[in-house]
Amino acid sequence: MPYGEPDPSDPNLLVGVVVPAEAETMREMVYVFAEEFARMGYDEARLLRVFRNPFYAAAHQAYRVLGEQAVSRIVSECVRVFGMRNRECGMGNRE
Amino acid sequence: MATVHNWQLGREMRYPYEAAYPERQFAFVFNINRCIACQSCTMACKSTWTFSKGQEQMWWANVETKPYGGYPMFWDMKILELLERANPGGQRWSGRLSGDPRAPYGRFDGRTIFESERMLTPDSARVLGYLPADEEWNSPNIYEDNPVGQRGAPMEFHRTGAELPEHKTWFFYLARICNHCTYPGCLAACPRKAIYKRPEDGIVLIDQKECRGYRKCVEACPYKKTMYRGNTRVSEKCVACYPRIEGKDPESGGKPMETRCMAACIGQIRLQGLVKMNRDGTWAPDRQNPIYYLVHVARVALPLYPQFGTEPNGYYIPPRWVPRPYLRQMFGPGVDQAILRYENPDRELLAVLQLFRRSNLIIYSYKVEAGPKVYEGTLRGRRVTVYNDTVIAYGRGGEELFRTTVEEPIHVRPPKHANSI
Repeated sequence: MPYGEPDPSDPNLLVGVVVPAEAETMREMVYVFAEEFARMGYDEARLLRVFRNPFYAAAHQAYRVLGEQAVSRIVSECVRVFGMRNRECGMGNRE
Repeated sequence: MATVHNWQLGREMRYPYEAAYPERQFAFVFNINRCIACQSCTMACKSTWTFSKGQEQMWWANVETKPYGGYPMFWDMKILELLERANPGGQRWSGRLSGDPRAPYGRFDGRTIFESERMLTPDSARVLGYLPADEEWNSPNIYEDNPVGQRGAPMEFHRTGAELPEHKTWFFYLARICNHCTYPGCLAACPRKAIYKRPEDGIVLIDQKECRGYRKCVEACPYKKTMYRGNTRVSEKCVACYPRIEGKDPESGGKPMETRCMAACIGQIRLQGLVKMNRDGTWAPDRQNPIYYLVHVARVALPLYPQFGTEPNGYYIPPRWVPRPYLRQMFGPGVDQAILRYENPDRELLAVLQLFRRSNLIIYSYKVEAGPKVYEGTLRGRRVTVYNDTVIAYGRGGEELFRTTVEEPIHVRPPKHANSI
């Protein structure tokens, strides 16, 4: 971004523009995160930690908007379908 | 002007040169649904190429936050606006999606950057474009997700930025490199013919000895992936890590390897390959090539701004949560079908998605071996059945590169050895 003050007459400068979003966008976003990470082998507890952590801005925003219960339900649903089924090979087991 | 067939537009198109196609074409698929903007690709590009004097700016990969971000700033909005002014209200698609490889997305009835003569200045120009101002180039990947620093304190974030209001809307990350287009805008605009497309792999390169730094390529590339360097006074662009594609990287053992930005992707969003070309510029049927499968069979991967007319060879699996009008503008009319298929992956698609980033060697073909049914039930009210199939990847000579399963085992380090480096 340039360091100068924003020029309000610049038609390309986005200042406080509201971008339309469909009502279900947030829920859809939670499903996408949950499905993708479940396919990568995340279990329910690990996935929920992603949503609870403010560091992951998008996931956490959805978590705050929809609430723990709704997110938790979506996470369980996705992990049940795509999640771990005896997939974990704990490297520590060798010891 | 010659006439060429642009299969992404489903029609003939004017282009300054006669059609000429490579034997194979460098192409890639990025799955936006998985990108977390970690910038590993960006840093891989930077650290690979900027290691020596004279190479300070050989850095071409970037990830931008859409819809607000862009590098250079507003690149896509600006070119869309120019095209709209060239053809007010006419930038539309007609027809319907089909299995026709010469027109899979219907027909684009608007004008491309090669067909907007009345907007060209000076009259001798060949391609519609614009030259970004210096300040539009000055902050790659910075300040898009963070508040801008104080005035007069460049390269610093705002100290109290965390207190600023956040965007309460959708956004997604768009990773970009040069698309090594089939009809490159940069090549078309160069008055010295210093830009060429390699016949063996379709990689677009600038001959540094021929370039005189006129910056016509910078102006013409709609994706803004050619860049001018002041200290050498010539233009540069992404070279697709061509020594790796040629199998000359010491790590490759002589086998074609994917680029560094692909190899570094920790989100496993990237898959790159070489697709076979027909003499008419369409992709030759190659059913078991994963890139061909994702673009022409499953049709979940779509070109970025096909309406520009350059026939880009970068394909994206669109983000599922983003409003469709925005996505249709960015990826064309195939968006709804692509998202529907990606949301409901069939057995083969689930297996092919497992090929992403399991190896750095280029996959030329794959085979799926049936595995047991591991789940049958519902997801969001729809019936879902998951099979633990095995997908096997093969290299250039038909040798097996690796095999993996849909339910790939994961390995978890014990806390004692959480970090063994």
